[in-house]
Amino acid sequence: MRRTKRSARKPSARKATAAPVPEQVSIEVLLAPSPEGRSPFTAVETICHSNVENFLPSAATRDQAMQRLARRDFKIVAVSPYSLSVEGTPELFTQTFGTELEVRHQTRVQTAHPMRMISYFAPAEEAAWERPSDLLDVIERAYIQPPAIYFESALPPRVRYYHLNAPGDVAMLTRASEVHREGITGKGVKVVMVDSGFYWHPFYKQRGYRAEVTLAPDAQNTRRDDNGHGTAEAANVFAIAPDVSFVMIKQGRNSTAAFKKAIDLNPDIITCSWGYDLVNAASSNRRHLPRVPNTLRALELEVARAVARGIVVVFSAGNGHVSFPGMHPDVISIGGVFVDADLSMRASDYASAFDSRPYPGRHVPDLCGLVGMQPHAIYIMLPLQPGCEIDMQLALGGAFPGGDETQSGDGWTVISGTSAAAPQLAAVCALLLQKNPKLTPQEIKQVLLTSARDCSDGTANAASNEGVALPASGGVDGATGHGLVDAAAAVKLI
Amino acid sequence: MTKSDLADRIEAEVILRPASGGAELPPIPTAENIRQFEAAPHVVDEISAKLRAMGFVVTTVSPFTISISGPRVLFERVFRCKLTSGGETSAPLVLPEEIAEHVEQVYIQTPPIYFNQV
Repeated sequence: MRRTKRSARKPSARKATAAPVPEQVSIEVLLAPSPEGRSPFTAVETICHSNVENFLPSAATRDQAMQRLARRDFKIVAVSPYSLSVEGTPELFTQTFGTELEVRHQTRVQTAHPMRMISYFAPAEEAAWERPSDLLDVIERAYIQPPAIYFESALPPRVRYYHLNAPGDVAMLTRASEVHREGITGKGVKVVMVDSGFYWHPFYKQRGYRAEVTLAPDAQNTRRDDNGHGTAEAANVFAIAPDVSFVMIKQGRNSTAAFKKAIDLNPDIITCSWGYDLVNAASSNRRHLPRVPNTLRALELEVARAVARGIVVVFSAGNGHVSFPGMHPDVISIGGVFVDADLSMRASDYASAFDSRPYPGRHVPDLCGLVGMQPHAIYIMLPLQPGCEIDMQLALGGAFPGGDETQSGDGWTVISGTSAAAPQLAAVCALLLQKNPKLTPQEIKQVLLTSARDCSDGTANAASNEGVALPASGGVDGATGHGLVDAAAAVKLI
Repeated sequence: MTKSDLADRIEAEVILRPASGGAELPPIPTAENIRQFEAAPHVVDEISAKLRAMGFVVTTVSPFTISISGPRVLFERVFRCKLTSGGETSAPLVLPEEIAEHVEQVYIQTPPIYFNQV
């Protein structure tokens, strides 16, 4: 814990850390004991349910304390028979009790390495504290409350809106749970994900998942994922194929170099939840580019090389993006279907769907995974490095659907996008390869298309198709391709 | 390496000319035709060595491409260009004579979009 000495009379004078110092302090006021009662501060025995009443102050004392504190401009926020929870400015606290305050800083989440700091007021070392005469007979002590530390948890926080949990809901809705019952869990299949990194969140450790992290040539630090994307999306792989041999390639600025590194690892499957948006940014309706820019030529060659070597390559279709390599003919291109609480399905209006101009005859997507709806596709509760970029962004967005209602820095977020869908499909491919390791990428794609569940409602994201949202309809359609992946049906086909 | 060194570092992909000469290449590289795009095996080693001699770090290689990395000033000097702070250039890089025979072009790489967001 770091400390910054300061006068409580100038609360805005110093902003030493990334987090602002709060304008109010929270105080617990313990009421003065009644004449026949006892002070909890003199108790030698443990205070518990059987003796707590011995420490009960009188109701008159409580009411007087409330009145007098309110008169001093403290705000009463909660009342119990034993104590009052009040709020006030740091200056008010200092003025009332004569206590010098200082600003302290602590990490919000208990982890192995430094995270975002939060700041709060606390009494300075050896600071005086004295009850003023008007409170002398009604309060015994008053303590400024330090902020709680969130302990990084393998279990997600509770949020009040409909969403999916991993692994359970994701496995069930992709019908992977049924396949798991047959002993098919991805064992012996190597899945490489190229992404922002992988943080060993308790979600992974406590469930016994196995993962490795390898650095792309221009990436650093295998232990951190400061963006959070890779850590979160990897949970989709393990939800469906919990026993895969998983390798995260943490990429830097050169995705092609990272992808080449992925090929060099000789995996069965490469999954990528990223891409480039092939539109003319200057046009009013996001006109599609007629060809793949030369800057991406190397990546185009490497994607084809990977599939020629027998590697299944899965790419996200994008979230309104005209995504490349998600449109390359050799990849399995993954869009989005939203499954509601009543299990009805509709095309995600967050996910891309379009006909590729650089690759005539190529439609995106081939089929879909689970993706939420606009505005932010807040849909699947996923773990990430506490305090990372995504953790902070969505937590600050307010109530659902503007934000995900998780705490900033708690190591959890509720997201999706086709970023979630691609690793779901990669994991289903792993189930197929465990059952039949001889399947080629082309055969796997065909099995997935044939076995997908039809989705006939909703429309895709209009931004991906020059302003025209492609609709879902019975059979193969523009919005969802062949529909939502069905792991159980796919496994039965081989 | 300091943070400012890292920020000033440029990543690029060097596209090699196919051994076949490139005149009859298919318009779209796919898994079925990709071997037609391969450079001659000795070219990968030869060009990698020349790039290293110029001061670049060769990070990964494949039969078609070489990934290189280096400070911005090195790129600007070798490829006679002016790069923006984001590593962008409005004109194609000018290939030095000693690699031009086997290199189609050099393209500076930019980070991708993660598809959790619009």
